[in-house]
Amino acid sequence: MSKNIKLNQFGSVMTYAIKLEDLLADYYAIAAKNDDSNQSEFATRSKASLKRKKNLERSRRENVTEITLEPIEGLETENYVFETTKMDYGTINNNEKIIIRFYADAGPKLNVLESKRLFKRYHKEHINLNNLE
Amino acid sequence: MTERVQNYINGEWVVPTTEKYTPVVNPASQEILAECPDSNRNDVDAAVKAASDAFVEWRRTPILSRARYMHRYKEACEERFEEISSTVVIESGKTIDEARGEVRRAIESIEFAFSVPSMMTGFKTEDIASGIDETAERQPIGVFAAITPFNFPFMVPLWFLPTAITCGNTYVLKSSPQTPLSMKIAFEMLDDIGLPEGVVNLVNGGVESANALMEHPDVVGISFVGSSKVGKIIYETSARHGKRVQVQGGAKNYLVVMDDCNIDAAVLNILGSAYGCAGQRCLAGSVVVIVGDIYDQFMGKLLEKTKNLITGYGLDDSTQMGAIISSASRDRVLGMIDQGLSEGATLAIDGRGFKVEGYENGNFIGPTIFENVAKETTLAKEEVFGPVLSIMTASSFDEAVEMVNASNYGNAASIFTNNGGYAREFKYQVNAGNIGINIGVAAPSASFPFGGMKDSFFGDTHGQGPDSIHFFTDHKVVIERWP
Repeated sequence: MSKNIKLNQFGSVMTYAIKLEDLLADYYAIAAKNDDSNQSEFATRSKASLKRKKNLERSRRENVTEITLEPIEGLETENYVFETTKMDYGTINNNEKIIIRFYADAGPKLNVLESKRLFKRYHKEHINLNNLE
Repeated sequence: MTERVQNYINGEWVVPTTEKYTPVVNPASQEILAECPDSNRNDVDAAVKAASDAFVEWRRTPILSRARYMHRYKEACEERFEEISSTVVIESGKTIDEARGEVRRAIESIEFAFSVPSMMTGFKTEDIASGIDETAERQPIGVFAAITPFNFPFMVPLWFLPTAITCGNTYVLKSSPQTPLSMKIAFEMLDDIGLPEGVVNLVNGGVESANALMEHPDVVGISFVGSSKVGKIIYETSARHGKRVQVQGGAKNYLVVMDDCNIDAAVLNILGSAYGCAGQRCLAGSVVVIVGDIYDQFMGKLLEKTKNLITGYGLDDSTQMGAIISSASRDRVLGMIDQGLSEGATLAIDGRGFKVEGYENGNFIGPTIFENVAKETTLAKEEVFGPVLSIMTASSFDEAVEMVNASNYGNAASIFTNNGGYAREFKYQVNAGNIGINIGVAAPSASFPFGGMKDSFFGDTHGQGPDSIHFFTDHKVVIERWP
């Protein structure tokens, strides 16, 4: 995952959220193939991430106008980087913690109500996922 | 081989008869993207004839059917949204966020055209005299044309075209020869949605094609967006040839910062206003007037945030300010910076000599801030159209309003304040067509007219909103008595 992108404006924050969900969708799709005991859970998570990705893309497309283009500060990509080479439950849980933190930190910084609402909802959705043990 | 852009006339892509072409250059990389024809009078004649012929049947097409084409057009734009946005970046130099914002605004103009069936209704009074009824009907007029600029290559043409054709007119567009590629996509999509041949036509070119449109007897109206200098010529020439005209010209937009405002919010907003599209837009904030004892506090924050802005290639998601459209424009802006210095202003941030790694030949100027700008100088009076912000001071609200109103332009003006009294007086007294209150870019939505006063607008009815329905239709009054 690219660490170069700077989370300094609406579009880049939205793009990063899209990348995170896209990454999770692939990650869980592979996990579903490799883990028989949680196949259904991982397939569901992959599908949900894809859905979130599409809605984030729509929100990025529909909610940016020149009125809302103001710099955003205080978000660093290095705080929101997944470990995708390992698929043990500890790593999976930790990745979920990362995306929960991302939505919690980034949502309030968006000055677009609809996108902010989406971040709040996805924060909640990720919190509601069970911790794998 | 470099692509040569074609014209779209009578439902087909055609090679223009001209042999003159100009390069279309990526402002950041200097890569030649395509060649744009300098279409001549023959090309314009063909486009106007196609539009004129199509008008007869198109105006008889039921208005709801006409509006449905726009529904399909919006869907096409949504599907190709990212492709269009990237194309806008590549040909104009702006950032991807700005390009997305532009495409969204264009789609909003298409959405406004959905309302034409209800906006175009006439009115009637029974028994205006004994046994006599009188009706005012709105009718389309014929072939309209637009001459549009480089800075919003996708949005500005769509301020006009969707409403014009949904009203029942037919259209000829001449977009900027510096940025013809996003309009190529726009017309591919117009072709895809199956509009009848000749309803929309695209002529790529420069001065000759613009003159041909203004002088053509079968063109009934011209919309123009560009500089005031050219706009005045467009207005005079088109009017001399009997056309209705709406000309949106240049600007010198003042941003008044009162000492009671939320400084942090104001600074962020002003950054977007001054440096969005690298200052190349008619709503760009150009002069900040600081009122009261907040100069040091405000400037400290403004300078810090400005220095943090990332200037670079627009397709990089992190870039916050892009390139200037051409090397000639860059040199013109640099010349105005030199002029500012020679007139006594001082540079707080100097954007000259700015280089972007990997794009060393790009037309970049870094964000620039001038202090000690005097009232009668070029920086206070003339449009820069680049990333240059001038700082001035006023001792009172009244003096600030005087400074705003001293400008020959009247496109936009903003005030940052928490005082409702100041806000009210500002919008009441300031002679500008678009007023921002704690908003740095006072950009009207598609359902509102795009204002403009003094040298920023020539004409009667503005672009967008209800004004556009008036512009693209005429009232016919029917007085009837039945024995």
